[in-house]
Amino acid sequence: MIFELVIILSTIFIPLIWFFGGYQLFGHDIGYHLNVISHEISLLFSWNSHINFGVDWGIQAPKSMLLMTFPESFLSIFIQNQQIVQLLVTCFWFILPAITMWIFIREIFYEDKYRFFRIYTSLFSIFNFFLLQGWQIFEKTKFSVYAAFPLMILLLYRLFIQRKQIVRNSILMGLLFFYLNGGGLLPLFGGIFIAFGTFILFIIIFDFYAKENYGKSILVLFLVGLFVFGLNAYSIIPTIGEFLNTFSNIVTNIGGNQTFLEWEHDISKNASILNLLRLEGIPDWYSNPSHPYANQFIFKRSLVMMSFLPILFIIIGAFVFGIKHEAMKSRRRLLLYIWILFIIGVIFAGGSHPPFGNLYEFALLHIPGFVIFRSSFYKFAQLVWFPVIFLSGYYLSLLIEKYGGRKILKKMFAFFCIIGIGLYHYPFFSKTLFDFRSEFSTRLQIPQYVMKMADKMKTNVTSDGRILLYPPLDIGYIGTPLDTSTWGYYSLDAVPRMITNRTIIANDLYGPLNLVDVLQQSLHDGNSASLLSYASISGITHVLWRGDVKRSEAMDRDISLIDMENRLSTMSALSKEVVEGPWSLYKINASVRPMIYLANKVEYTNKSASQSAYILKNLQNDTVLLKTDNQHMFFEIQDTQTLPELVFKEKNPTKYSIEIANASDKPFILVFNQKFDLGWRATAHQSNSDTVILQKHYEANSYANAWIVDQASVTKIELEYMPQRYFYYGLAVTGITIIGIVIYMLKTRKRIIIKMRKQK
Amino acid sequence: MKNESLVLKISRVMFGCALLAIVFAALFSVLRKNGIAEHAGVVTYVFLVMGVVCMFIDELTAKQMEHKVNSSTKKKKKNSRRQAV
Repeated sequence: MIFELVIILSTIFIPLIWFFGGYQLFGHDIGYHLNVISHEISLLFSWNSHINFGVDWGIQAPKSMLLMTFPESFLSIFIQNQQIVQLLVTCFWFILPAITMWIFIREIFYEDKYRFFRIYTSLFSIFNFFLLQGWQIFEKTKFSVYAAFPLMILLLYRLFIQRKQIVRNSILMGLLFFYLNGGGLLPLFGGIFIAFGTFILFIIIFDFYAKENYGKSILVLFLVGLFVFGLNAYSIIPTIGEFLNTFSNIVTNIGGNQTFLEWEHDISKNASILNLLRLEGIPDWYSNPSHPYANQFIFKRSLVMMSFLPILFIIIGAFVFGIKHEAMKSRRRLLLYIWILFIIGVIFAGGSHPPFGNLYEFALLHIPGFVIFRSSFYKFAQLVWFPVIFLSGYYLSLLIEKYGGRKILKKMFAFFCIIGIGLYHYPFFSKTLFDFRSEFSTRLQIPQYVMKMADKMKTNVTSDGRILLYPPLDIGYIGTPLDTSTWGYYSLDAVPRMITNRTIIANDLYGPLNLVDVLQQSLHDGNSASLLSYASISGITHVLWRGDVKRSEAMDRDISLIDMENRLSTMSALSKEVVEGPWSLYKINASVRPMIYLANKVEYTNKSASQSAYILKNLQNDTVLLKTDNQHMFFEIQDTQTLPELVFKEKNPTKYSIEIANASDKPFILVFNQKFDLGWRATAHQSNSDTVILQKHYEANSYANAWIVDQASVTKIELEYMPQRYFYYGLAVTGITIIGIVIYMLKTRKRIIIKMRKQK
Repeated sequence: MKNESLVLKISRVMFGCALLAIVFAALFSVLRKNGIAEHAGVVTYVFLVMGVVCMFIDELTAKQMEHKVNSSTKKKKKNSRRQAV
């Protein structure tokens, strides 16, 4: 066992090759925040006030991410150097699939004769192109589901085939998906659902001749569901709550099911049966002309030939041995199940590719919710990879044992097969696997000035300050705003957001684009008056100039970076505070409206946010622009009254407490400068102890929230983002489940100790 | 192989055909005749499916026989207990 573990664990050093020379994995879809701890804390809340003007964080970052990012957060408490933290985390995720596969195989195929089988499958489990594609963007969520897969099969084997310790193994199933939770991203569980469902169907069919087992199976299913749901309730309940409110909007906004079909066709274009049997068909290989290694495997004859070896071993093994070779009934059942999984997996992983494409399209269009599996390859390819790895290892071990000749020859052949896995998957040992475009990569040396500016932003900008990014993010590459840099960064996530917890405003998909556009247009035009006007209303306190952006050809035609920077320098509205390399932080020379304030002067508009942003320019300092179709309800608000005084306190990003002093009977407007969202609720406490929920909630100033407070003698108002309550409910359920598990385990341990004492 | 059921023999034939098909697929892939190779891949898959179905039927039949034997053994034990009483 130690020998096997030493071989497997020796691969943990491979990520060192990637990090050597001061490199880190950063950019694209990696989503790795260098301000790890503050990012981890932000995940506890359903609202993030530091992304543009605030965003529903429950949708963007499911609560399961808390555990997913916990290793780096925990290490960051002790290790300051983020490169080392990321290296350690990378090593962990690199080796985890091999360990879980090894545990699975070792439990069932424990004899010495299966040693090669255990080592081969464990190494093949990490060295394959399905995972390699994920490493380009350090896709932890995918790795976690991938690593969970063999352990799930093992637990199903124990529960339904061996039928032992059903409570304990159900708890283990819950704990498995508690940590290896795929970041709470439901689409990634496509393979898991299919594998689980296939296993249950398989057991139902075999238990047809032993129907007394049906009762036990139902009990097991109930227990598994109970513990998986219970332990993950902290994430599932908020997700269900958010999902029910927003799913139909998401489908409509992105273009409906037809757009999903087109995307699915694009992904499955090369997922033919032959490619899947060879463990290829990865979409990036064929769609990216500057792919670092794909062309070698598509065109080089020797590599094409080698790609057929695993499936060849499987078919030869099936021809020679079948499954009858196994004397143990339970192992035969497992082998048969994995064969069936393989057959079904090819259908799902192929997606809309012929010959089963019509079935998949039908499912996408007509089965409610199935549209979340619109990129079939990424969701279901594991249903092919796992069985091929398992069966090729199994049959190859049998073939070596039977036909390998003398012991020394068997060992040599086994050795070459194991080395062959690494040699064939040689891109793992290269650094170029991260270079997805000629000028961009996800393996980067982050310039020192970036981290220095992060420190300066922390000291120079207060926690409620807002920093506008300039130049704007570039839409010239893919038609969507992207942050790009001369040092190779390329991502939908702007760099400053990944390095600081200060509020960063950018023209990205978090919106509202209209307001950010007019702000950046003011900078572009060098119009100080316009900038001051918009900045005051939107709470922008600083501008971050970044001279190291790598602009697309479309953007370059308009105005050069040098001219843009010169205009900034000459604007009277701005004072340069900090310079770090090509980055400069400018302070806006004006006071801005605070996060929460009161108003009694109103202008009205029924225009949408995108149309009304331009009206803001001429808005007086003490006036609020409300979006409404019915102006008449505001007749009672008069600008001649004196406004009450207020003091507000942020308890957390989803809760604010506002103390009101000297409130009269006259109505006024409470303005909250976070992005308008109906999830925000304002509760007013009156002097006579009455509590009232403020119903008149409107969009203000093209982006913010406003409530009409027309109750008398209001002394306190509480603002709360209601979806956060789903998290608290879920956390309570998870807490109760954990307590229940601990009590059960203590009782079981006590029972075992008593039993052992009696036996003695 | 001599004591194999008919179903298992059929599965072995199916896997043999799958083996031939995959060899053809490999050959045509190396020769860059991808169209033919893809068709050979589909044929391989079809034979694999048939082979697995045969293995499944065989295993199910074995389970059925096992159930019959267990049932008759239980009945015999019950009867012998009654006689003893």
